[in-house]
Amino acid sequence: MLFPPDFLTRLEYLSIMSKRVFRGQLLAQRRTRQTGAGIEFADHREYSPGEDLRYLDWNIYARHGDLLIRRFQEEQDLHLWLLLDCSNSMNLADGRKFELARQLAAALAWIALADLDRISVLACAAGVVEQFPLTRGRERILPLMQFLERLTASRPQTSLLESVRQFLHRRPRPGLAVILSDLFDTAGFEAGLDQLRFSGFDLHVIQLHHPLDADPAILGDAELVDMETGTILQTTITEQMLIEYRRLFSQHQEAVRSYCARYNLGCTQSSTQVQFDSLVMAMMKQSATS
Amino acid sequence: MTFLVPTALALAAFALPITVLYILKLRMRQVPVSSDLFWQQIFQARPPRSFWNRFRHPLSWLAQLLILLTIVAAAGDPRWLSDSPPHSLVLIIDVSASMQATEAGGQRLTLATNQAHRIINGLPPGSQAAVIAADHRAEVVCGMTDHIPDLLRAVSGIQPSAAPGSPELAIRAAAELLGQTPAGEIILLTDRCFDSPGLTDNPRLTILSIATPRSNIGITNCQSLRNPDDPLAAELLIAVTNSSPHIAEATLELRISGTLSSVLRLKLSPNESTTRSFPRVGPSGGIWQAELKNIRFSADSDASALPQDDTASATDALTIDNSAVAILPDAPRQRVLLVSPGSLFVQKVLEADPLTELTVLQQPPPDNAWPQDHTVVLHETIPRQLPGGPVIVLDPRNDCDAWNIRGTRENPLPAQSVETHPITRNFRLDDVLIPAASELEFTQQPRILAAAEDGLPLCCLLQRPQGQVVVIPLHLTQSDLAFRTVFPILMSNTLRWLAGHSDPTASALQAGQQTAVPLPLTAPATSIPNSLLRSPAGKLTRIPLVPDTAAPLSATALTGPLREAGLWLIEPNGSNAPPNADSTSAVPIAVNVASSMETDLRPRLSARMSPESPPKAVPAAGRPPWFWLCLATVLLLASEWFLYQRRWIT
Repeated sequence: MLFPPDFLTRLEYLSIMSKRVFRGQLLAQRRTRQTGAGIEFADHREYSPGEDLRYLDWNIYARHGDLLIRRFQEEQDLHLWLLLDCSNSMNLADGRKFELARQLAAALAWIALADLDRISVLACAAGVVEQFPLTRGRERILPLMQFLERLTASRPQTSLLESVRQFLHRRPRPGLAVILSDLFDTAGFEAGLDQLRFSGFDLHVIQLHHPLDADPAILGDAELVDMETGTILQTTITEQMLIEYRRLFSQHQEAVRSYCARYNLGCTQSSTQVQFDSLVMAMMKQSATS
Repeated sequence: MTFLVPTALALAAFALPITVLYILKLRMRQVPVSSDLFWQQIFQARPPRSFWNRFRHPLSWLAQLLILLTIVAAAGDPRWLSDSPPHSLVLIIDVSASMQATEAGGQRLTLATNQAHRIINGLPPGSQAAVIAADHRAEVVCGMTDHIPDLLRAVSGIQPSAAPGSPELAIRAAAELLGQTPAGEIILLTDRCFDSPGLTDNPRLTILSIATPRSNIGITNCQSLRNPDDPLAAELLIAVTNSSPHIAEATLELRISGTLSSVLRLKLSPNESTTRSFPRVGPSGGIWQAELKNIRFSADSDASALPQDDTASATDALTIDNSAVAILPDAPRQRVLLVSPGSLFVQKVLEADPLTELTVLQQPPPDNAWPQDHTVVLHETIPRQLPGGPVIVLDPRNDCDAWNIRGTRENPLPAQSVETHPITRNFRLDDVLIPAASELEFTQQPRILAAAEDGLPLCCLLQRPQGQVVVIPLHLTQSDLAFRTVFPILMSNTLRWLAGHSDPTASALQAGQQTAVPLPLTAPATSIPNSLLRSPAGKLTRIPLVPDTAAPLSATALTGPLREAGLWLIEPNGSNAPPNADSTSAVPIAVNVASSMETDLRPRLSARMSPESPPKAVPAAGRPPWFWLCLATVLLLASEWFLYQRRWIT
């Protein structure tokens, strides 16, 4: 079952924990750099005729005779964009990879909704295939979970770049973009992330892999069926080929980590053997200490 | 090479399906992967297999075909081609005691059986062979057959014997097995430790020797005996022989029923034999065990003249003749009731027997109240009805239920006696003056142990259900029998026999002998069909019992040949529990090697073929072809497994 009966209870616990750990540093209550109608004082500027006299600093005018307007930091709610990989590769073996990705999406969405942020979920494969529209309020968690339950990982191919392009064509307001994917993109994952980064999004990459992705444990004659393209490779797998495979896989993981470190992006890599709440807690602790 | 089962070669047809399956191969297993991203990178350097690349490793296919080929060839039972035509062969394997001696390469019998295996495996196709195990008897362990596995099994199953060797009987049996076969051959695998000079004259016989001269010291005789004149006195006789060109030293330990009785240090010159006797006094018997220990050979002044053996390496090569056992039966006290009007000589003879507790009556007891556990000796006065139990009748003067007196015979001349019977052993009446003897008419036919010239019984045995009766109808008062030495011997023999302790010859047997053992039973013999015999090694065998018609509670067990040296035990009463030496009812039989011929481990008979030159039947490969084929199959399987794993791909 994707969302077991105690799922919401565990989400509530995560929400409380997130407040305790981040104290408003991660998702919610982020302040924009724009000044405007706010409560917290930011600075002063010269008065221009026609401006609202309510913001004139009368104390300074009384002391120095200067007409200065008080500026306040404008508070804006955060926009959280969850880009969920729905390609076939997420459905390997028992489908645990896609299940964990959806659970993580639901958990992060709940934490954001609880902080009055806006969230949106985009199901991606070769492009954006489906979207849960931008929404806010805790009561929207149930429709979101229904949306996630409906999703299937049956799309033929992963193209992060094309998905990001289609996402950006919708002119989303910049915010935090969380990528939930295995990042098995034959064109490479960097171009897609670059596009998001250049568009002013904060990025957090959650890369999931099945244990069979890391170690296929195949020996002898076999037909390797690519789950995304359906390509069949008839081969005889030797121990040495397996060693080479493991090396390439580790290299790929390291490339993702290096990319995220280079651009100061959040990065979480995990096997599907962990529970989603443990993984969220680990993410929160990692963000709190970074 | 030829094949004994050529039809098995049809199995080679399996090569076709193997090839077809190898080419077509069953559908490969499909393994879904998230992405072939990494596999593609691997295959950029190493292309994946294609349909035509299925023969990329033809070695694997060839290995499979070779495996099939070797299995098919082995199933065909191939044989090495030989120049010699099929012929008939009888293998005689000497299993006598000396074959248990150790050579540099192992036990002689093991060397012989190994040699026999090689000969059998190298037989030309179509040959027939038989196997005979020979000591002083011959046992055909496998009759004429061309089935090699049976012959090999028979050779492997041959057991050593402690009996002396004498292969003449086996050679006669081999000749009968061969019959008139012109190509027949007899091969005797032996250590040549026997004296049969006529053997070498047999043109069909080839003697293969597997022995070299070895030093040995052993017990060549071990017997115990009670003194017939003094049943309380006993002696153990032990003969020890040094069959080596060296001086032999050894410790002879003697145990009686497990208790150390005597230790004697022996030093024997080359080829010297010594005989020692150990006395013992007392009514109790037991099992005497003699053992040679701490055997050491040292150089003799003449040893340098004997080039065949080296003193430094001389050891006692045969161990089974280092120990011997003998049985000394108990001499229990015997209650005797003498009923006599008065004969001092008879009374004194009975009193002189140390095992006798004598009671004397002048008249039979009133109302025929005879004591149950007594041997009754009746002199002259005979009751109308003889008492039950064992009875000795001397000089009967009146009738009874067993006989009627027909008269008196004057001066009967003693003519014959049964010397083999325990009563009349060491008993001769030739010089005894017999003026008169009663002529008895028996109601049942007696067994005559001594008789006069005209057939008049002078000593006879009546077998009754109530007990045995020994009748001596001589007129003692007129004869000088009572003054002669033979009279106490006769009375002692008769009393021992009636008590059931009369057989002094059973102290020890030579291995390989058969024996008939009288057994006391607790139930009638008809209800006990057989007894349990345990060999010294612990092997149990059921042996039949022959009931004694005269005595319902006794029977005879026929055992043998007893080929194992040591103490054999018979449980007489049909119990399923194996007998042991502590059992009171178990009857022991002592069996020893006791043969100076077997103790001497130096070959005496000339061999026709030296052990170094293999017989013509043995192939160069030393093993049958199927062995090598199976070995090749195993190697090919290992290769195919290696190829299957493809670990060699770099």
